[in-house]
Amino acid sequence: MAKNASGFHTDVILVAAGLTFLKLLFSQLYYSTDFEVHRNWLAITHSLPLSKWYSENTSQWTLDYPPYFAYFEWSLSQLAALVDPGMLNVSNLNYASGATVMFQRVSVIVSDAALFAACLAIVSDVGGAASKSATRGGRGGVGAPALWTALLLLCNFGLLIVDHIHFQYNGMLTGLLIGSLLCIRRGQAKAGALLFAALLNFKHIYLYCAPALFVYLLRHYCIGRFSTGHLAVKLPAIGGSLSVARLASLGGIVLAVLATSLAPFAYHSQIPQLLSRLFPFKRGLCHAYWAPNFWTLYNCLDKLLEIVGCRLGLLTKQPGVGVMTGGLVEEFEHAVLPSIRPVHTFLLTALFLLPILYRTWSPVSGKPSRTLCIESAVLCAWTAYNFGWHVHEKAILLIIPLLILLMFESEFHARLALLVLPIGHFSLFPLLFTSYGMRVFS
Amino acid sequence: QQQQSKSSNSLKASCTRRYMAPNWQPLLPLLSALCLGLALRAAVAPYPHSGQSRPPMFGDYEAQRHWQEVTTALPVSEWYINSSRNDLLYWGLDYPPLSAYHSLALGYRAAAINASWVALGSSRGEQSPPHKLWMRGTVLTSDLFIHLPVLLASVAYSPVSPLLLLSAVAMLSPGQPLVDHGHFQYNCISLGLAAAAHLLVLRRRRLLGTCLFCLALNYKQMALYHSLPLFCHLLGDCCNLLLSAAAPWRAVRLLCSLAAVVLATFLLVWSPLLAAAPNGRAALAALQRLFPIGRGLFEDHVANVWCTINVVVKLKTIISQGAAAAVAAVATLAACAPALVRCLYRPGRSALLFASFAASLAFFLFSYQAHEKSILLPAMSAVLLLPEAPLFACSFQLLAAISMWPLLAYKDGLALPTVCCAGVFVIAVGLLFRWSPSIRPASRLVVALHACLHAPALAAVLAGAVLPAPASLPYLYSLLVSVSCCAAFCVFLLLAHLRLWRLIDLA
Repeated sequence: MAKNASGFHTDVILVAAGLTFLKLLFSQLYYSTDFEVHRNWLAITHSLPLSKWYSENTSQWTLDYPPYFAYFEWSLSQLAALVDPGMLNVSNLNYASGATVMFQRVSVIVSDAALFAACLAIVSDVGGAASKSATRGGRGGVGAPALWTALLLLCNFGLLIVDHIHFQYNGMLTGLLIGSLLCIRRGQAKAGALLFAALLNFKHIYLYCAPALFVYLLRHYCIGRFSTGHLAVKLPAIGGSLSVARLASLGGIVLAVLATSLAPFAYHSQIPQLLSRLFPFKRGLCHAYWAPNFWTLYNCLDKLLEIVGCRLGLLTKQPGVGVMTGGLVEEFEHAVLPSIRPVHTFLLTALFLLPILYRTWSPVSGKPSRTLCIESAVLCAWTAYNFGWHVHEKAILLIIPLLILLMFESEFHARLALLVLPIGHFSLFPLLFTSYGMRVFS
Repeated sequence: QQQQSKSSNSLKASCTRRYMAPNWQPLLPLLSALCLGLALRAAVAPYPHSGQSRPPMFGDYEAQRHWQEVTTALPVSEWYINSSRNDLLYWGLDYPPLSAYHSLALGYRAAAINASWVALGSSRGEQSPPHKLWMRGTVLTSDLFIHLPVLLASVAYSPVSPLLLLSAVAMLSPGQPLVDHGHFQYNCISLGLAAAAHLLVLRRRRLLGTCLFCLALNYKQMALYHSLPLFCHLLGDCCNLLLSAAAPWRAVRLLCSLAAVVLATFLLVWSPLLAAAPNGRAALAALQRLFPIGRGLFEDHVANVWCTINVVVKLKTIISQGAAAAVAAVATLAACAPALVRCLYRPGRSALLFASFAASLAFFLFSYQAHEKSILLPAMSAVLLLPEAPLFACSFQLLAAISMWPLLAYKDGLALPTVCCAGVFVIAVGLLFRWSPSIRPASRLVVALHACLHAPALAAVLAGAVLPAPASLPYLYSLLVSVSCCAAFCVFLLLAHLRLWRLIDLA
């Protein structure tokens, strides 16, 4: 195998091309209701004025992603008008002509270009993992960790089945996330902040990672030893100074991105409506398919205690209580253990985030290691996944790519990733509902 | 660094195969390749099958379902005979009895799931989604248990090292998934059995190999394409034994035991038919269905020499069918004679595999009533040749898929899966050569020559996709694809013969 960076680029390009063919082949497999969701959003953004985007509810699949995603759907809808205008009619519920299916599938494949760009960035990462030793169980003499990282990200099974079968746009978002983390790791904090702010405005689930990145950037980018010209404010407690210039520039970038995203809706006084769509707290503690997190165990324990209690005659079974296994998205009460409200999950998440944020702020070795920002992002996202309110099992797709990024840094990371990745991918199986989907599981 | 190089060296050493029992280390790459192959086949399955939604005759899918219906409803004696309950004009059974027994077993299973799927007469045209799911599942399971493990074994037992990549390329060969899992057929069973026979004969398990080959022959009579090289190889083995210093009675014993195995296998498979009706009437009717002389020299557009000649000289008007059959037989034997002689003269691993390839390709090009799907037989030999001549084998497999383009794209609506499977295959081969310097082609010139072989056919495919055919020649593009593929196949045949006689080296 070629050992120089341009050789790796060719490998990544070849594998991406092969995967494109595979993704095209998958285009006729099962798609979920998410297909109709995105078709509906194409219709809403194309046919309706901006002021109605977040208040439209002809279909049950209302727009609940932030504005950048809505703009993305709008630009797709301009192309969709050339393919099949029938899909852009808001009242055409469940419209799925052949052309519609192919258009949507191809749009996902094309948007994966963001992930492809991120993988190219990984194999051009000068001074990065390519110069480190240690690959685990190298097959056939291949020994370049950066290339393996890129290939594992490209061929990620979870992204493949969720994006190209179940139907979502996670590849593009993962590409943005990895891009921003790579920039931050390299010290290009402004670019990283820009990408991450944009990512948050595409899908706000990435807020899971935000606290970690905020703390990291504050402590390791804005605070340090600076020469004059940075408007530094001395902080003797920490032994460095806060660069107000840097803080302001980062803050300015984030606010500018927010402004471009929210300004049109503020103009139409749609912000409260937008926020209620983005953060729906009436959906219940768990999704219809439970995400394997702490609340799953909590629910099971509650159910067990209820059964035991009823058998022992200590309780009477109350109807409508403790019915989370019904497969519905709704609020409910627990039978034995205390019922959980959103504020409880928020407090628990914050509680478990504190150690992570503390260690991000002051790492063990004193200096931030190469992997610190990614590690803290992973742990932050994982904590939020574990204790959050109404977590989808698809949220594991935030964690898996970041673990793959870390996989080749050390043996500990490799072991962790090898343990978590199969389990994480296995937890995605309920998303492939039909028998066809279950077969394509390699 | 030192530890890393040591571990990779030991890995390379253990990856080097010799003819010995396998250890467990290759299991992971082989399993990964197997999963990749299964995923590809399962992904082709949702596409339309042959004859989907096309009454009254539908296609091969309906033929297989009809055979399940006929074999479960009628006694053995009536399977191959025209009657009011068994209309032979509507997809009459024309494969040997093992195929019929397979349909019988499938029919019982289908009836257990839903009796309306195989109800005599009333189930014609059944193609509901659960039925399609089940039928596709039967092909997938037979592929998984019979065909794919044999291909993996052929790669694993070869002395070439990049196990994961080679086995992945073997799994991704584009022709067979498209025909079996797209068009809908059960070639995987006869191809798998025939491939297993080749491998067993090479490992000196001759009796078992012969038995499996007879089973393959009794599943689809097209396996005859491979019969001559195997026969010559075994005969050559016997002659070697005869001429060797050891007691010549071993040769006689081998010959007799081989003959006994063949006879026993055939008797075992055909006995229900022979016993069913007096005077072997049922068996004779079956034979007539298996070898239909009345169907003509070729049908539609095949990448066959006769079809190509027919463009210029209208053969069907010049000679009668009997004479055409004779000419075809002579031409076929002449085309594969050098390979057979070589196999007889000094039987060995590469001799048998190249001869099998050459003979099956010669049969495809020159035999009577060749179907375009029969290109899968030389393609199977090409997969067995992967470790020996990777570029040659991969180039042929791609061309085989292209030669079926008129069938897959124009008649079956499988254009997208064909392009995707071919694309994935080409990329996999490219990665194989990039990442394994040991089996890289010797020079760019060789690669360019192979590209030239594919270029005319690809140009015809592209032209057919972009430009509409003129009204006076509606089948222009099918014909162009067939003719260019036929020319390329003749080149492959020549190359195989030259390699057999060690006149050239196919890296």
